[in-house]
Amino acid sequence: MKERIGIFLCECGPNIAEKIDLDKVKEALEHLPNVVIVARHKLFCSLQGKEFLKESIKENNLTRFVIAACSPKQHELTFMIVAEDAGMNPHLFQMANIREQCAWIIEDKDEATKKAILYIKAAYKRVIYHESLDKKEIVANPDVLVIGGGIAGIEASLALAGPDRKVYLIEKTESLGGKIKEFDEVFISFKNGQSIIDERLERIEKEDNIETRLQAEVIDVKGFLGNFIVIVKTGDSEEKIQVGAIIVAIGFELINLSQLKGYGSLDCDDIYTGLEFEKMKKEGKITTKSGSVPKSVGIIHCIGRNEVGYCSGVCCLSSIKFSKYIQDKLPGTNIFEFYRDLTLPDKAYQKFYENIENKGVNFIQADDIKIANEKGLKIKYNKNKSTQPVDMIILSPAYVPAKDSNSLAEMLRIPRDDSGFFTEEHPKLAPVNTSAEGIFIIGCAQGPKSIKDSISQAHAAAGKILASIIPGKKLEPEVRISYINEAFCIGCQKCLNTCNYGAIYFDNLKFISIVNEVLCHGCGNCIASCNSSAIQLKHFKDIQMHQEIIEILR
Amino acid sequence: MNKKIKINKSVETGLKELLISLLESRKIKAVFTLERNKDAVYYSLITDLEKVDQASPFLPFMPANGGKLLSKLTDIKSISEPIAAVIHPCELAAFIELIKKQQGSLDNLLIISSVCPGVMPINNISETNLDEKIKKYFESAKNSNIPTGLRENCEICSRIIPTNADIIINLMDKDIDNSFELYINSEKAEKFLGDENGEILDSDFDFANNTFPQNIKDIISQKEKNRIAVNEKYKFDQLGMDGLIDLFGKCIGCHSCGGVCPICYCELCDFDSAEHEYKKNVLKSDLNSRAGVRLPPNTILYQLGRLNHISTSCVGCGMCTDVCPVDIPVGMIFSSIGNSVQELFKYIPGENLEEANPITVYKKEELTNFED
Amino acid sequence: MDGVILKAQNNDFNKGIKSFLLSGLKNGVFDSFILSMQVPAKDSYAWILTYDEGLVKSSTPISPIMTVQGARALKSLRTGTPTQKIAVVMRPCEMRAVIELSKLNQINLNDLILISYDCPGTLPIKNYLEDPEKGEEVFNKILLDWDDKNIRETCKLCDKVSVQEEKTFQSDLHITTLGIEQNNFAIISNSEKGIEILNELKLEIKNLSSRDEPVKKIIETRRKNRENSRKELIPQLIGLDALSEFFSKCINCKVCRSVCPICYCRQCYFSSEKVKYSMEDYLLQASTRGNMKFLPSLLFQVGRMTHMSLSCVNCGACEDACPMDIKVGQAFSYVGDNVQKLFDYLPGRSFEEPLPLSVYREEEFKEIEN
Repeated sequence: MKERIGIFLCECGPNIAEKIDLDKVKEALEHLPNVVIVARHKLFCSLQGKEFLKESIKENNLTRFVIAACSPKQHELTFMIVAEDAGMNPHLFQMANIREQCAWIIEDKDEATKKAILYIKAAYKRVIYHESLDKKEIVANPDVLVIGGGIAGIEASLALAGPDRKVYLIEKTESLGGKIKEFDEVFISFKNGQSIIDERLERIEKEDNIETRLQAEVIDVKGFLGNFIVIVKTGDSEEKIQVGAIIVAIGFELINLSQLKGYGSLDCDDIYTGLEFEKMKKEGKITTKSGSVPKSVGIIHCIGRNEVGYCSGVCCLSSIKFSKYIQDKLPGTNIFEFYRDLTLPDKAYQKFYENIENKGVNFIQADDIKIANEKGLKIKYNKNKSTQPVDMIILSPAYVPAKDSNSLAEMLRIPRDDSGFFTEEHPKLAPVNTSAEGIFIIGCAQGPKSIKDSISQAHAAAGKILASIIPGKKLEPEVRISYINEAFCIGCQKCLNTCNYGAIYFDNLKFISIVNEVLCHGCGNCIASCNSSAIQLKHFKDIQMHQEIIEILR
Repeated sequence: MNKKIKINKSVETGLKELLISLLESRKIKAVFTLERNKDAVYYSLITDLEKVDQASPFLPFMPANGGKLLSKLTDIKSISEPIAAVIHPCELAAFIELIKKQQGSLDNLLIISSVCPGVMPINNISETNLDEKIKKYFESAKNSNIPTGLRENCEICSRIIPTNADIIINLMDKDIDNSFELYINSEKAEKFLGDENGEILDSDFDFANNTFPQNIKDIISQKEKNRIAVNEKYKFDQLGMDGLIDLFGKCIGCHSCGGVCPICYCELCDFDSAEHEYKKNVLKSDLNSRAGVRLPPNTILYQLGRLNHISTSCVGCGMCTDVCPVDIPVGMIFSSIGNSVQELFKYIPGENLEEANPITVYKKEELTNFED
Repeated sequence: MDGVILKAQNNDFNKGIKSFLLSGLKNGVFDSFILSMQVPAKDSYAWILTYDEGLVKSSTPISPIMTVQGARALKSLRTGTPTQKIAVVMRPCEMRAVIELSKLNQINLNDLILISYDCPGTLPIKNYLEDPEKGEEVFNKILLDWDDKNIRETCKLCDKVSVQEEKTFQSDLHITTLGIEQNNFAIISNSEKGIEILNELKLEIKNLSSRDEPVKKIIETRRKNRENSRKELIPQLIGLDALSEFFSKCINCKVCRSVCPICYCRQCYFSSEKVKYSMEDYLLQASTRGNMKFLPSLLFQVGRMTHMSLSCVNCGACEDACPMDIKVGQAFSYVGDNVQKLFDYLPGRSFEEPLPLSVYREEEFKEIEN
């Protein structure tokens, strides 16, 4: 059959039309072999545009087409659907991005036009080598694995579990609840932390569809959205758990004080971290080591903030909460809060702070704070210019990533930022997603967060999962996947190591690697690892890419 | 036909001027020929006139078999605009053999070749007195002598006439420094050449039909004598297994001979495929029957297999010998055995594009002496 | 370092090694061998797998030339070994390639006992072939005096000639002659398996500190050689123009790749259909530059470099085989050294070190991000 190729030029409103001479472009393309139509439209992604495209494909009996418009990230799917509607295989077209890569970035109209022609010709050259690819459907597992049994993990589990969806909640310690258990009172309700957890534990108890594993850890993860295979180790026994999505909620730790230099003697008696102080308060006995009631307490914010390079955001509030504890329990004790900046962004926080300050807490903005132990504890600040003797010191150290985050990142192959917290896919648009589809990060695993924010994130991730993996509904896996030419495979198994999805296995009889078509995500990592290119990616075959590149370099 | 153009220039200058004029008049788009840059020599596709002027079409070297290169360039898609290629007769023969195997196309190629005096081993290109040597080479050719210092294979090659070329240049001509003749050997050539290129004369010779000057005939018969002597040395039935082991014992199995061979066109050689990997059980039984096995295995099998695959088409270009890292005279062995196989079938590789490779046709009357 | 001292009458190390191997056969620590052996025409050496006492006796474990790089020979046992305790005697650079190939699943080490030896270098094949008999003589002298006049250029620059405290290559046992008393040689264990074998043989383990100095000295000399030769080499490699010039003689025969132990692909990408273009595509390139070389070899050279330089063991097989006498081995070794440094990786240093490109590390190359 003779090829009949169409080329469609999108004006994208004024975006492309004003910056590129589309008549000239049209002229340059019309004579290309097998091109039967070159047509333009104001906006191909509009209803009329799509209709026009569909009719043009049908009328001209097109076998392939190129559409010169925006980024394929934006509208490739749109045009795939149009192609399908027109009775064509959705992979027999190619987009040329003449908006972001030409119109928007080149001032000179002639230059932009020239580049656009080049890109469209490249897409034309490439589309000739495109092949029809057929759709597939796979069953998706609706179950979810939640790693971390703190407040975020618990909330997510409760939101997700239901009659047709099981949740596996993995906690490495011997009990659920995480750090909140230690908090005597939780802002702003001043409820007891343990009681907040207990309420939820009760619900978990009643929920048949949450399976909890305590003192457990994840040791291996394979697969992708809809089909993860996770190996969980509880004590000495290992089990294989199959889920459709994974939520990482492993929380945080406080920075190790022994790492910190420049704060003077942090290891003296009567110096406590916030968490230690919460515990003391919970036990109901706020005393110095010698057993006496402290007459003065210094609370120091921002411990380690310089070292970690970020503001943990939640410690100001808890530090002020400590002042309230002391005012309530030990009226008459002098309280000094040393801070660098106060971070009190929420609608209720400012009032709370003003209230405490009015009750007599001394808020001192200070730099270069040092603790000295010279005949009792002293807080020196502002380059030793001022000194405040106190009986007890409470520190608010920076939040840092949980210890397991490194190994978990490697296992899940999700990125972390410079501080070591997991990175969300997009800080605004996809705040709980990761670069790996089906893996979510919530709570302090992603960075310091208040309890409130952690809970919001838990619900956000749960919502995403509920919307994407609906029990009984099949997923359409990627069809642009890799395949291995058996004759050329030498069996080195490098591809096995680079596959993020565990989609390649080794055939011990034939001594070659084989791609599992369902698991393959079409990321292309294996192709990069195969020196002899025994692996190719459908729709991104060497010849398809080469032809495009050669044309661009023309 | 049977026309020639006489050009009153030295052969190299004259040919280059002709090529430039063809480029200028857009009759051809590019020239495929040898370039030399210090001690590097390579085939090049040239579009720039000045670079054609600096090319070395008759440099007596073969860095790669030009037929193999042309096949790689034309087997995906034949050429749409004319290109002139200056190659040696054995390269043309290899190209034709490859075309018979659907590995290329002559479309739009204007093949220019010469009555070939031979080429030198490729590593001689770095020799300090090279220019002197080349001068001597042309001097010998001009005087109808076989130049010294040729590839071993060239010394026994009697197929020095590029019968299928469109244009043939006789390098064994006394007058070559002052004037030379272009023999128009195809209808295609007639389309490219006209009296603007020089005086068109009737030719006394018809290279395609085996009529050519006496001096060339003499060289051919001399080379045939050389070949017979070598053929005796590598007579297959006399060699036996011991003889083969002596010849190929040093082979390190790098398969480079196959890599540069124009006739070895397979994408993946059978002997590099999984089929030929040593399987554990085979190894075990080999070890039991022989007490010792050589690793990697199949050293001789590879050579025999390759002989089997290519001998009807071997053009004796000698590329294999040039690259053999352990100095096995691969080209001499293959050419010699190939020659006897070809004689058996009365087949000359590259002689006639229409003639099918003998192993692809069944003839009832063939090799009856092997039947019982 | 400690080890076992054994006799080698008349400083015939080959003979000494063979009797050690045969005693191992008798004791059951070895059941077969892979050794270098002269071919019948006496003009080269080949690897042989055997359990036969006679064949072992006529083998030459330390041979004067590197024909097939040992790792390539072992690769032919990819699908399985016929016996379980195969003693393999090979040079350090061959061992290193063996380790690299084992990481690429091309060699299964389970059934192999790797025995390396103090390697003074080997003769260039071409020189040896001119007069094999003389070659034997020359080499036997080198085995004793370690004079590097006649060995391959790449060997002169090799500092991984023997084991020392700082580990540079992995094997199970190592045969050492440097700094050992006349008519003796020693065997050092270079792995857990090696220790077990020496224990099993119940040989007396002695202190071998006498070899420290000579080993150190030879390593220093080699490193100095390398430094000096690189002063000349580096300017020839830096920049595209220099590199093009360096490989200008290349005729694209790809012998370098064919003999390379690390180039293990069934089919090289650079020989595949995937890098084949039509005349039209080439014509385009030719018309922008005026001419286009066939086939462009720089892409092949640089491409191969990208593929194998992390594992390049500087064995020099490529340079020895190059018909155009390009210093390809030295160039690859220079690039390899630098790339390996980036990853703090030394090919063949240990069984365990994973190939840098096959592992994902959170903390790697942070400076290149963003």
